[in-house]
Amino acid sequence: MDNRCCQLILCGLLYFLSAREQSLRAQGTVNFSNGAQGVNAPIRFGPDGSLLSEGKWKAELLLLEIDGSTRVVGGPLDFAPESFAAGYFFGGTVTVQGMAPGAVALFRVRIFCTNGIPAEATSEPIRVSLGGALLPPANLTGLRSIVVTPVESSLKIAIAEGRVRLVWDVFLPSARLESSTSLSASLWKAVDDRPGLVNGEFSVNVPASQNTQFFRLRFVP
Amino acid sequence: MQFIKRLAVFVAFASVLAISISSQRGLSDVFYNLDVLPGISLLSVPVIRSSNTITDAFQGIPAGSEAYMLSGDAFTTNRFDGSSWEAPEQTLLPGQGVFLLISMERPVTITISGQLPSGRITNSIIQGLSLTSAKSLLAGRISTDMGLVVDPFDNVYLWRTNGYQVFTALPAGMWHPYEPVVQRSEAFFINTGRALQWIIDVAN
Repeated sequence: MDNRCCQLILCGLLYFLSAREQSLRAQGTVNFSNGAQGVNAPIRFGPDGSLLSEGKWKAELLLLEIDGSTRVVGGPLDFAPESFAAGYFFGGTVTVQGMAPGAVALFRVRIFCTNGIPAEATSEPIRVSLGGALLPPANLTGLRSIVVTPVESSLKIAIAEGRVRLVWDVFLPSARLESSTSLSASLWKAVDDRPGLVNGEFSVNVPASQNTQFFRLRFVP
Repeated sequence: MQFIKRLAVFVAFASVLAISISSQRGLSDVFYNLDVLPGISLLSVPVIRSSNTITDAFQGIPAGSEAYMLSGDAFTTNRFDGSSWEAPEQTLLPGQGVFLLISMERPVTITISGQLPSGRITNSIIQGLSLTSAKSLLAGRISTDMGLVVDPFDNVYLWRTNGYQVFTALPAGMWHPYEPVVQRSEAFFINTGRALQWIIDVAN
């Protein structure tokens, strides 16, 4: 047997072992999605109840290690477009390094805002028996809908030169500014001025025309 | 009276080289060549053969090939030594699927032959995760072209190279990322919330 023949046999053997190793001794896998068979957990924004969509919201998959620490194994992932499947993200197969197919893993899903304003939420732990090797990735069965709330949201007010300046978080797009001269429920009216976007916040300047004037943000779902 | 017609169809899918069909009394004799890539493929044999064993399922596979059959939630390994399989009587029926490992560096062409029934063919898919395939030579978009009607959030998993691509059915007939396209003689996993009846009408 000459050298070339030996080389060919060795290459063939290595290729065979490589393909077999890759597929049969693979890592565990999970389908990183909140919309899958057995999983219907749309994510909403707390103040207005709107479904999160692509743009500024991301999802991460966290693996809870035995020592209590967490490790990011998937994402950050965009949400689906509003016109397509708002509230859902579809990350597909995520490989969990260091865990074998069939192993039981604990995950959390973290949702957060990427436009600089702190808003996030984390799911309860989800117990999953991993897929992998020749089996499809396991779904995140047990994941429930999450409501993301702003870490801090407030209506700030300042008076200067006979005008009232009102500022609120930019990630409250469906919030409507209203005013009233009394706290009586029936007297609230929408402020007609269109809010401007200044330094990542909505801002409105209205004349200080009344001795007493109340303002509020009302969330319109 | 026997009515026999023969046609050869050259199809666009790279994996299927040519198909020959001859029909006789509702059963069509079929043979076609399948170009199988090196590594692992998830295949089906939609035709009825004399024994329905793996021995007569794939003709022309190289020595060292292995077949992995799902049994419960684990796989059995069946190795082909060039002349016979370790478990030559292992069955492979239309509607089932098998992983085939080709331990070569180049694609190999295997021949599949048998008979295809015509008329209404039903494939019962169990609730939950299962491995399945078309009981016909159909190929294309899984719902639009192949008639498999699923529910929102059902998943289809197609084996691509060394892992699965996940497809999710959505309301109003939409899919993420798009409607899965299944090739002829390709098996796939499906995860469905209820048992399904996959009905295909095959004209003779």
